[in-house]
Amino acid sequence: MKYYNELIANIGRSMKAHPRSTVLMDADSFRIIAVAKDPKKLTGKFKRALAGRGHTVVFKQPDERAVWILATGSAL
Amino acid sequence: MTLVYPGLLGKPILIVSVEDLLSGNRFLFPMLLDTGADETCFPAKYAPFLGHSNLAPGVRKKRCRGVGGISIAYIHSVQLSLLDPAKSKKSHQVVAWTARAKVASFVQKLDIDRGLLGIDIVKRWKSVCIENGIKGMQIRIRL
Repeated sequence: MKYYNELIANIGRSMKAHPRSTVLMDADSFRIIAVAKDPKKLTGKFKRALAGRGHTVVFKQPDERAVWILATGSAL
Repeated sequence: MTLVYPGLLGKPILIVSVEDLLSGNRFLFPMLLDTGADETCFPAKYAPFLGHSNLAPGVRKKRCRGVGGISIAYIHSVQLSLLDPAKSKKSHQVVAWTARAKVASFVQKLDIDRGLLGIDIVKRWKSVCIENGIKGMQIRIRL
């Protein structure tokens, strides 16, 4: 399996395992670094992860259907 | 060059490489392809993750409008890149394309946990195709 597909599969699995939380994951090893319901609590660990050599991905499973269309001020 | 990505959660969500231009740090973030969005943007609550403060003096602000009504958008220095899904490997992510824009909006009322890849970025590509097949959703981007 290609790396990107593996990354997507691991993100999907972690979302299901932690459906209400924001997850920090090492994108190289797919190891979960931290999980928290309030993303602000992850800020310190996220900065430490960014300071390291690896790649970090941050994500959260959507908890409801979303509708979003955005226009800029200049387009109004 | 054509990049083919699997969807995430049955949606056209790409894992995008985001570089914070203040610190040089790079991280990955899910972003939804949203051709209804004039501009690429992030939820404002993720700005502190990058070490940016929406309330710092000197942070530019502007108005934007979405389903939630008029909102404030804070402008921060970030640059987005697409990973090459065929060439990227563990510990060696290959960037296939980098956006020219070196700023993005962080929108107060964007109450979701992913960014929006808006038409400002999509129009830089030759084509985008969202396909559904036996492998699930695939997003095909021609650069």
